[in-house]
Amino acid sequence: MASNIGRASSDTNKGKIPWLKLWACIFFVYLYGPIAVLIGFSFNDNRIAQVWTEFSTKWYTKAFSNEAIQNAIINSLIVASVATVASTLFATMAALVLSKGKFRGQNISLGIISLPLLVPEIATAVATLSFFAAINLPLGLSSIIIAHIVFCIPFAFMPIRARLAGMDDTLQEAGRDLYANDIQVLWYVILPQLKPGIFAGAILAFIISIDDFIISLMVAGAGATTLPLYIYGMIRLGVSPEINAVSTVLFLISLTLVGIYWFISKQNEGTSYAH
Amino acid sequence: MEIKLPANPMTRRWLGLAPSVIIIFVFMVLPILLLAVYSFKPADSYGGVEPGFSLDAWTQLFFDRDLDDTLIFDPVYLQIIWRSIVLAAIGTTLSFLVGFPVAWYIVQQKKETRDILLLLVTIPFWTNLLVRAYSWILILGKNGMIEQPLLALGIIDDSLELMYGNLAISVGLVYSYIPLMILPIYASLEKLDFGLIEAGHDLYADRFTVIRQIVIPLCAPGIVAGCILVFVLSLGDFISPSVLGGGKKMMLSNLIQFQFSSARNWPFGGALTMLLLILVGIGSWFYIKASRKVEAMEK
Amino acid sequence: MSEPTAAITARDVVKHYGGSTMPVVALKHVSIEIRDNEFFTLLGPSGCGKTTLLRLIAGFEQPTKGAILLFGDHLEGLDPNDRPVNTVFQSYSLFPHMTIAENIGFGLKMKGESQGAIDNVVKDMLSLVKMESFGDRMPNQLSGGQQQRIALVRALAPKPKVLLLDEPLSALDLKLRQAMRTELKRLQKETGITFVFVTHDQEEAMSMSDRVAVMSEGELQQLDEPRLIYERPRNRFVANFIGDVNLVDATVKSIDGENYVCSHGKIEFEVAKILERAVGDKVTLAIRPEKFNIGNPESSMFEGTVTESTYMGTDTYLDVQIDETTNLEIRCQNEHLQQQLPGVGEAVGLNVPSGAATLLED
Repeated sequence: MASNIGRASSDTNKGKIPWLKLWACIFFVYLYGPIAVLIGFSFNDNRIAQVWTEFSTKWYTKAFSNEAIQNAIINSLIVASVATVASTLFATMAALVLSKGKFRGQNISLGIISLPLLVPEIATAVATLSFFAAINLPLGLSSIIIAHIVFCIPFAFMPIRARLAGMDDTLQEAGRDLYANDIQVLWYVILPQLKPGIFAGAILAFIISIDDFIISLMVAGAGATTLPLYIYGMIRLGVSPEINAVSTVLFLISLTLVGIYWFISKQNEGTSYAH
Repeated sequence: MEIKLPANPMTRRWLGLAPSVIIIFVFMVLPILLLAVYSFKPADSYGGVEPGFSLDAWTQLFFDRDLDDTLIFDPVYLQIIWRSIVLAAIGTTLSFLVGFPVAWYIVQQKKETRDILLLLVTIPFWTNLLVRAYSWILILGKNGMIEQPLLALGIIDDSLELMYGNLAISVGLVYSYIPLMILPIYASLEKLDFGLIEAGHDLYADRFTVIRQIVIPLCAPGIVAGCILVFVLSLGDFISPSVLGGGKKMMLSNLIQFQFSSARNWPFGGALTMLLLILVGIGSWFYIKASRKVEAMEK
Repeated sequence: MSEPTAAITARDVVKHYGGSTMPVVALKHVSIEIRDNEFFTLLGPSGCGKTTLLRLIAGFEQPTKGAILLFGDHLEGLDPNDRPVNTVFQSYSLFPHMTIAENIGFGLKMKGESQGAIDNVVKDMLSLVKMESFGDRMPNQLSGGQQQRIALVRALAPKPKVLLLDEPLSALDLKLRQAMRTELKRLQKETGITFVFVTHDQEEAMSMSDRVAVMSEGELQQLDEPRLIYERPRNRFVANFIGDVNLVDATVKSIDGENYVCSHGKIEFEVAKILERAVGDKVTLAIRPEKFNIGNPESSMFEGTVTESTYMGTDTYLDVQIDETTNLEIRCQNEHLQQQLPGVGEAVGLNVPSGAATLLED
């Protein structure tokens, strides 16, 4: 019976329903269609966004010569970079600690680290805002960075932890057997092996930070506009071709990062050698 | 490099965990607790709270204060909360109906195809939610992708007004979170013993009965996980109602955000947030109960 | 002349695992002395404690009770990286992200040696196992046997006082394993380092070791040269674990100088007096299958009926029933094609030379 699990071989036990393939196709059209429309119309010459006239890249040039947009992009990159570096560093430290042995407070720590994944973003957003106000922290780019670090930590944590779990423990023993002290084992044995996991975690954190909207909306100060916030501002003024162009760019940035992440994840599945 | 780590393993552990745990605790746990406290304080008209104790925020959920300070029952907020629950439920149901067949289809492919399909399902999830919601405006909106050909062909004369309504919001919710419905269901289906389907056919059940009576109960954990996940996320969703609902059809999250911007009623915002967290907590509790039941069933 | 200090001394070592509710006792009061420049093997089935003992010497675990000494110095409490002892791991554990040369040089690098000195040692180590051109390769480019040899020299490079080997040959196929046995023996003689070898394969233990410690269920069963382990097993476990054996119940009939005469029914065996027994005591005798001589039923010490005969190429195994309750396994060397061995159902005469049978403690 075990050979039948997850594998449908003959026609009878496939439970095959003829229109299933059609359904799946429609689904993927539904999933990617709107984005395709968006990207398509970003090359539309017409001022009215949804009516197609001719192909043109003018909205891209217009958008990217816009200083406000340039600032928004720079802000997003700054926030994402700082948040990524900090959260990946902290997540790595936490993952290293949580991977070894059992100790009291282990589960609580794990719970706290996973907490940002469980709480609705709007709740985190307004709570953080209240807190910043209560401690008189001025709102600006730094308030966004702090808030981002908070929810980037669990995202960076997951791939690192996964990588650690799959690592060969005996390598650390071998290191210690060959006269390496704890710092040396960490530096020469553990970290080099952990690299793919750390990169994957960093990319994940970066993506999450770049894409963040709600939390940034609440805790951003004046002038600290990130790209998603800027897009939101444009949307409130109505549909316009600039939005299409900028949104497409943001989408493509996310897509590229996802691609890099996927590629690194493939490597993350073990560089150990088989024998 | 001769940095000596503190010898005590417990000390080293706390050092490693400290940054992460402290940051999340200080900037997330404490703020939420603070907000809970705020909900019991009087509001400061410039935003923030004044010292003291007040149940105003909580009474505001149900009642309005008349000029002579009598309480009049006002359902407006309850309606918003109710709408959030309903829309989230609709979104979840639609996600399930759309997503389940897709998961089924994927699990029937061979390994390489499966991986590609799963990747395709996941990619949109990692791209910007705002952008994805916005793209629906191009489709559903006035003169959008749907209306243009219909207008040109003369099938309709005026805008369908698809946008800025419950329909648009529901579409947005489904669109945003359906990958999170498909993935858990797929995970459950992957473990399914397809020989059981054969057994079902052998015992004279037709395809649909087999699916209803055999498959769905067996991948219940995945279905439950997916539904609860999507429901909880939809309940707290901000982007779909604000981008596609045009601000006229508020959901809970818009209402909360409103308190912290124009309305300047932080305590009320706090109360609403607590309410949201309670609803999410209830949802999660159901999930834990359901998954325990399933575990017991599997034994 | 005083005894030279033992390389490794385990003194009354006890090791418990697990909490207070269900502790697992891995080692129960084990005392062993391993001599310098010795090829010493810990032999036993899985779970007997041999790997635990090895890990205690290496420093990956600490004994619950007892002492472990290295040339007289106490090792308990010391971390592995403070002990001049190195290990060859069962799964080789080569660092996958380092080259072969970097792997071999790792121990010396951690000890702070200069790169020049390290390079020299790496070169020597590579030529020791005839893999001179492999320095720049990565571990995943090597075959199992090659990885095993690199793991070996990686552990030898820092010139440890004792080398520990944890079932290093178990992942290799038969031919390779046999080749490696010779290699290991040669290396031990060449380097003069004490090797402590752990295995569950008795052939390996017997063919390579100067002395063998047979272990079972956390206790030492017997510590002796391979020859004595085989010829004079101390108890049923050792007798059964190594090779084939016949266990015969007997009673001490009389004492004759340095021997006991024990009788099993009407059959008498002469055994060396290695234990204190009195006339009338019930004892167990161990007789290896090849110790029997076949002869004429009339002119032999005793006779029996052949119930099974199995041809094995070099030998023929006969199962012979000598009385209602006792069957003996006899091994006869096939000397030539014309040899006539008794067939199934036929009577066969058996002789047991004096001292061929040995007294067991249990």
